[in-house]
Order: sequence, then C-alpha cells, then structure tokens
Amino acid sequence: MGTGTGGIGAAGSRVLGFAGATQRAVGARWILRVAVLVVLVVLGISMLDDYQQQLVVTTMIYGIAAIALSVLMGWVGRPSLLTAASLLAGGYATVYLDDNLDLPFPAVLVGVTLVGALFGLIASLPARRLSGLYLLLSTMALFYLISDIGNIVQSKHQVLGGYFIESPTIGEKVLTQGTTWFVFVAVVTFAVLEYFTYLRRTRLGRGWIAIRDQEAAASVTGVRVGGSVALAFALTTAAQFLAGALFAYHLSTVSYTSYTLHMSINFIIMVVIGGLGRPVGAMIGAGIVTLVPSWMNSTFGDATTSDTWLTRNLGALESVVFALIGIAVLLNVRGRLKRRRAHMLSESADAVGDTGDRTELRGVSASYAAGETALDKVDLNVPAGQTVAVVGRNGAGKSSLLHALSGFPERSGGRVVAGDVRIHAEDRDTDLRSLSISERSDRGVGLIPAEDKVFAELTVREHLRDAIAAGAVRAKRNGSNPPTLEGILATFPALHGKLDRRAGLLSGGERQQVALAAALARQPYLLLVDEPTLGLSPVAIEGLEPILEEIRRSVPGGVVLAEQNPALAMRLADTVVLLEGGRVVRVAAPDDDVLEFIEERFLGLTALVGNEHHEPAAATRDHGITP
Amino acid sequence: MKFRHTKENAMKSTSAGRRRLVAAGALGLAMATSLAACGGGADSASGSGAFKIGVIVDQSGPVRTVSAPQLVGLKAAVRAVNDGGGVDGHKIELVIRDDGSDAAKGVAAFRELVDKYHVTTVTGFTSSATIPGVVNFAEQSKVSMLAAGVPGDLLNPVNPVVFTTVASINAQGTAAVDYLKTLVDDGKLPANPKVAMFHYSSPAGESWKSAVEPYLKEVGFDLVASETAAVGAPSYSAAVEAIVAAKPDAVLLTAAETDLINMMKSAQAAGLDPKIPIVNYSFGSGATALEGVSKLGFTDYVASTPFNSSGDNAGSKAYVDAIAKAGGNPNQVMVPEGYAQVQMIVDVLEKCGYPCSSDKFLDIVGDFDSDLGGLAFGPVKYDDKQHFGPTSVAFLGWDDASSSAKPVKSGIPLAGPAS
Repeated sequence: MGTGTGGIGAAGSRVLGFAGATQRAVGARWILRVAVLVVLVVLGISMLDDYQQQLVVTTMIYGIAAIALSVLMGWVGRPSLLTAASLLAGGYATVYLDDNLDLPFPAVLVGVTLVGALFGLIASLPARRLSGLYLLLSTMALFYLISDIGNIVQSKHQVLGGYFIESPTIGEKVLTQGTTWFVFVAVVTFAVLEYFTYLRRTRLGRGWIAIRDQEAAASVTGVRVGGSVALAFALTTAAQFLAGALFAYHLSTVSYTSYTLHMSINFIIMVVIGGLGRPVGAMIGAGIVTLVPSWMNSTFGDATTSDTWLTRNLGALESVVFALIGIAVLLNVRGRLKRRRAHMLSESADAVGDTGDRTELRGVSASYAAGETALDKVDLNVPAGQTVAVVGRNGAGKSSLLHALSGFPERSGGRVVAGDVRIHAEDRDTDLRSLSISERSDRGVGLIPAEDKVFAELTVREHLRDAIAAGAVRAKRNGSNPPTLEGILATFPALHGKLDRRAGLLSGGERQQVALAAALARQPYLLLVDEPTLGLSPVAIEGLEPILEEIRRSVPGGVVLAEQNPALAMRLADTVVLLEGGRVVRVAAPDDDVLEFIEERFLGLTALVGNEHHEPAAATRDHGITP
Repeated sequence: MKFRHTKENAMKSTSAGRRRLVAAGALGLAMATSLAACGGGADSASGSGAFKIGVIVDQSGPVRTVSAPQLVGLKAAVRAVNDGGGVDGHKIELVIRDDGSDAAKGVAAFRELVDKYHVTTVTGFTSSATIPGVVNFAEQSKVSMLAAGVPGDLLNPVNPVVFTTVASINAQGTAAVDYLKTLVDDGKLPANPKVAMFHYSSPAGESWKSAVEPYLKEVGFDLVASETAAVGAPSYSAAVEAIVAAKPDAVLLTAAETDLINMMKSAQAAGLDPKIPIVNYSFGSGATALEGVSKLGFTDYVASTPFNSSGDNAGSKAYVDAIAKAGGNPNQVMVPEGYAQVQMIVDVLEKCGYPCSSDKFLDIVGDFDSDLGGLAFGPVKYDDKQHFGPTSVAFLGWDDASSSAKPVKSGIPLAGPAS
C-alpha cells in the first residue's frame, strides 16, 4: 500500500508538475501575445494618422470575418460563400437591436453575436448532407436569399442608401471615431483570434480536424459529426455577425448593395493568401486584400487630368496581384524555396566517401499535427541491395517510418521534426528531408502504401503503361535498359490475362501484384512496401512471396518492408528491425530467436507488453534487446 | 520518460509560439510601413497653387461601366479649364480614388482625400453604395459631396453636405408623367391615357414607383400595369408580356442601357405597338440606347436628361469641344454628368477664389444657381432648403435623318423635395 501510495503520489506530483509547467508555458505565451498586441496598438496610435487607422480598422473587422471563415474552411473542411451575407445580416441585426430596441452598445454586440450563432445553426443544415462544391453552391444560394431579402425590405422601407446607425457614445466621446474606435476594434479582434486559437486546442477543435481529414473515421472515434459541424457554423457565423455589427458602426450605415458576392469571394482570397486554417494568416490576408488596393490607389490613381493605362485598369491589376499572391501560397513557393536552399546546402556540404551506398535515418523523430509522436529518435541503415523488414504491432510507427523516407502526404499533418534522412549513392549525398514527395520520387524513392495502392478506374494496362513511361525516363537518365511490358509480365505472369481489366475489379492479391509491377516498372532506387500481405489469403501470400524475392534482387538501393507477418519478413529480409511505440527496440539478422521473440510480443505473451507504456524499452533491454 | 518527452514538446511548442509571435510583431511593423506608403506623398502639391478636387468613382467594381464615361467627362472638363489658364490663374488638380462600389473602400478613400490631400470638395460618386458611409465624416469635416448617385433619403430632408448633380430618380419619374401630359395636350394621347410602368426591384426602383404612382392618379391617368424585375435579369419577357397584355397607350420605364435592348426585344416579340410612347429615365438616354431602340422599330422612345450635349449654346459647344479633344464620345451617357460636375465646381471656385477651403466652398455651393452656360436644360440650384440641383430636363429621342440624339421635348420642370 505504502509503495503504491508513494507511487501514485510521485505520479501525481509529476502530473501536477507537468500541468503547472504547461500552465506556466501557456500563461507566458498568452502574456507575450497581449504584450505584442499592446505594442502594436501603441505603435498604431503613435505612428498612424486617422486615415491609416481607418484602413487598419477595416482590416481588423474584415480579419475577424476572415478568421471565422478560415476556421470553417481550414479546420472543419466546409467551404462557404456566406461571409458577406453574414456581415450584412449582422448589420441588419445591429440596426434592429440598436434603433428599434434601443439597446446599449455592449448589449447590441452581445445580442448580434447570439443572433449570429442561431443563424449559423440554421445555415449549417445543408452542411450536414453536403460538402465541397455542393456546399459552396448551397451557401451561395443562401447568400442570394439574404441579399434579396435585404433588397425587398429596404425597398419596402424605401431606404435607398441603407439604414443609418447612430454612433454610440461614452459620455461625450463618440466611440466609433478615431483612436478610441481603433483600440476598441483591436481588442475585439484580439479576443476573437485568441478564442479560436484556444478552440483549436480543445476537444471540439480536434474533432473538427478529424472531421476534415476523415469524416467516417472521426465518427467511429466518437466525434458527433453533425453536432460538431453545426457548432462550427454557429461559432464562426457568430464571429462574422459580430464583425458585421462593427462594420455597420464603422460605416454608420447598412445596405445590401455594399455586401456583394464579390466581397464573399474576397474573403476566400484572404483565407487562401493567409493559408487555410491559420487564424493569424487570415488576418494577414485581410491586411493584404484591404491595403493593396489602397496602396495601388495612392500610387497609381493620382493621375490628375491625364488618363493613363494604370488608372483605367486598377481593378484588373488588383485582381492580378491577388491572383499571383494566391498562386504563390497555393504552390507553397516559400516552402519550396526553403527546401531548395536546404537541399543545395546539403549537396554542397556533404562529401561522401565513407561506408558505401546506403539509405539511413539518424535520430529521426516524427509527429502529426495534433502532437502525436510517431517516431522517436529512430536510427535505421539500409545498405544498397539489401532488404530491411520493419516489424511491429499496429501503431508501432511502421508506416510513419516509411513516410519519413518517402515524405508525409500533405493532408496527413505528419512531418519529420528532428534527425537526418539521407541517401548516399554513387558519391552523391541527398538530404531527403529537404525534398517534396514528388522530388523524392524523382530521386528514385518509391512507396507502395498499405491501402489505396491502385487506381480503381484504371485498367492494369493503363497502370503499367504509365509506370513504364516513368521508368523509361529514369532508365535514360541512368543509362540502364528501359522497362518493357513483356519484361514486367515475365515477372508477374498472373497479370497477363487481366491487362484490360479495371484495377478496382481485381482481387486483393492481384491488386498487390499490379502495385508491385507498377513500382518495379518505375525502376526505383529504393522501394518502400507497406504491409504487402495485409488482408490477403494464405494462397495469395504464397503467390506474392517469389515476386517480393524477385523485387528484392532488382531494386539497387534496397527494399524497406513494413510487415506484420514476422515469418514472411524473416524469409525476405537481410535485417529485421522491431519497432515499438515509435522507437527501435531491436535490430538483428533474421533467425529463430528473433522470430520467437517477435511472435511472443505479437501474441502478447510477455508481461512487458502489458505494462505501462514507457516501460517496454527498459524491459526489452532486460531481455537482451539492442536499443 | 513519457512525462519528460511531453514536457519537451510543450517547451518546443512554446518556443515555436514565441517565434510566431515575433513573426506576427514583425508583420505588424511591415504592415505599418506599408500603411505609411498608402498615405505617402500627402499634401505634396498644396504649395503648387492648384485647387485640389477629390474624385471618388468606381474603377474596379460593378458600376465601373457607368463611372468610366463619367470620369472621361470629369477629366475632359478639368483639362479644358486648365488649358484655358485655370480658375483665377490657378489650375485644378484632380485626386482620383477608386471605391469599387465598396462602402469600406469609399470611406477610406474619402478620408484620405480629406485628411491627406485637404481637398476642397469631393465629386464623382457614381455608386449610391458608397455615399451613405461617407456622409458622417463629410459632415464632421465640413466637406461637400457633389455626387451623381445620391440616394433619395439623403436629399429629403436636406443634408448639409450632400448635393446631387443629376436629376433625382423620383423627379425624373414625375417629369416623365409631365412629358406624357404634353402628348395629351398635343393630341397624341387620349385625355385619360392607359399607362403601364416598369421599375427595377431595387430601393431606387421602388422609390421611383412611390413618386410616379400617386402622380399618375393625381393627373387622372389610368395605371393599367405595374411590373417589376431585377437589375440585370436574364429575361424581362414575363414583365413585358404583362405590360403588352394590358394594352397601354404609353409605357414608363426605369431601364438602364445594359438591360434596355433586351427588354425592348422582348416587347417586340410580345407585339408591343411600335408607335406607342415609351419614356425612360436618364440611364437610357445614351445615343447607343436611343439608336438601338429605334432600330427595333420603336419610333416614340425617349429618355430624360438634364444636360444638353448637342445644343447651340456656349456651354454645350464647349462641352462637345472638350470631350472631342479628350477623345471621348459626347453622346455617351454619363459623360455630360461628369463634365457638368466640374463646371459646377468651377463656378463655385470662381466665387470662392484661391485658396478655397472646404468649408468656404460648402458655404458657396449651398447657394448655387447656374445653367452652366446653357449646358443644363434649366438652372441647377442649391439652397438651404433643397440640394436637388437640376431643375428641368429634356427628353431625347433618336433622329434617323441626322443619325443623332435630339431633344424631343425640353424644359420639363423637375419636381423638388415634395417628390
């Protein structure tokens, strides 16, 4: 008991200590953010005149709406063209609460935000059934509905210029003017930014990300998809209504004529420029979209009496500037340049001449967007021409290890956070971390994923034709013999009679053969195969084994095989690597002892498997495992 | 191990957060710098001895097709004035800003013109979307707005800084009824003609209807159809067929040039009598529109205009010369409106002298009465009771013989604040 209590006490104090440390870290970060806000506001007050503050206020109000849209599109994966309509409806709600109900200014803002949340819940109804383009079109229809209602109501009231709103006052000071308004809007914007940043760290925020990435999987893990999406619409629309209220006070008027579909599209441009799902990026996007036209106007619009090409084409030029920025963001030009620089540095700095051609991982750690650690300081050496089998249970990090070599898919959120991933071949050293997935593929790194390895709509012949074309390019570059269909079919005779069949109609074993054949035809330098026997019958596995053996001989840089079937891995591999919890717990040549050890682990026969998560490394050492 | 590892992650995350914060701060500074560039060069020409006039028009938004000819008129007028030695020996300098029919852009542009350039007045304002947002600041800074797209509710009751330089849509509507009255007097229409009308389903269209409908009843005309459709609708067939089915003696329209031909083709297809008088407002008074409708066989189509672009008087001739010199088309809709705005400003500046502060300009323009050398079909007037500007209009039709737009009736008075 005593020991137990002591253990719990120690664990408890560790937990409390961790919580305290985290709280301190978060608290310090928050204080830092407030300090940045204060500095920026003070700079704004002292450096900017009324006109420039006016521009910043517009930027911040647009920024609030853009942050909300960025959350909806980037985190929840729900596109929307509703933003301008939300601002308009927020403005109308402001007029009603301010003029008709005569509520005080703070109550108006709170009331409008609540109305926005309710409106968002209603607007979310189509999102329960629709996504992507269809959802976008439905939000566009809703935009027109609100705009048309605005037209009808304004027409009925005959308010051509829109509804006027009196500026709120504190004592004799008009709140919506000058520096007071600048500071007020800055504080509200900061609060909205902080709120959504906080939401991202909550269960709700994680649920949104899960829905965006894989709705069905999110549902299985207990995320209530419909409710979460509805809440996302409610919260983001509430923020946009709040922005609508501020905008209405800012302009002193609300009219449907000011809130166009073009305005909604501008918000999407802001979000794209800033990077989808990045609240601060959305603010930057809002700044660019607001300031670029003003800058162009100030620079080129002042044409006195002469009519110049520039003054006539300001609108088109603005569109071109936004398009260029948007394209640069979408193509991730910054990331590419960074990678290119790193690649050039590594190519020039490294001189190879040591232990021969190989692929290696040194101290590689990888994690996913939500912070899960997938690999922890992994070392791996794949000598040219050899096969390394990576074995481990589900979630051990096998696929992540392969992705560390091939590159993590964009939407996976995975990335290598530390360590080196390199190929040394023919006196050339390549830092794979500095390369994109396609650049690694170009370098000869091929991956056959565990799932989605073939394109269901393409025939076997189409698969092979594309692969042979790519292989021919590599062969020409390397001075080797180009692949031929006959040559491939000689290795994969089972595909001969199924060349014109769609890959989606093949059996699991046949699909695996198509994937392997295509991979081989591409003439990779290094081939990564993830779970080749996953879901296959014993007969199919038996048919696959000689093919894998053949591949092993023909891929010059070697093969890395992630496999759950330890017996098969033993037969194919020169080296076996056992992964557990993202860490390498054993590297050994295949033999019966290793097989026995692995099977015991897989079968969960040893006590060490069932113990606390951090224990296995120590326990495995006791069992003679090489860390 | 796990604890330490997680803590390390937390520390890394904090450090990354700090980096992001520093980046955010740097970005803020960068934006501040770019903002400074936005206002750069301010007031640099104040010592140049020129009158600075602000212009806000739509160069990138939905109304740019209307703003563009207005800007041609504005620039041509300023060039002509400057070529003639300026006003009181001082040239006029236009500081032009694009509002894209976006209220926020309009407000920012107006503030820049006032705060940075200290303009004497601001004109242009094609789009009614921009004006309401600007009014508060204009009132505070006592800067007048000589605007084309003034919403009716800013004219009645009178706003101290808002002046319309074109005939209000309501006044054009009642003037159109007065035009029909002259046809009754001439015996071209029966004593109590059946009238059909079409208006846009917009606040401006509804406002027009609210002025025209009671006036038609007041003069004893029989309103047999009142149809409506959206601006820029793909088809006006339903509205036009309802009008044709009512067998009117005359039709009153609010149809912009861009919709007019579409609408008239529908009328032709529906069998509308080509000899029937059709009366439109000023956005259908361009030579292209008049000729297009005439070519469809409608002989009695007319549209109102407050400015005489083809008159035999000094103002009209100067107008045609200036526009021709600038390479523009004097018969294009909104070109005379832009030109007239500058003429009004020049008249005020001559009385104001150099330098002319914005509040002094506001005082003088608030008591304005001029027919712009004959360019206007009647006096353009502002006083402390009304800022409706043009007091009469003419109705232009297409003259096949001369292949040009000609006034069919002129001197039709525009009703004041009552409408």
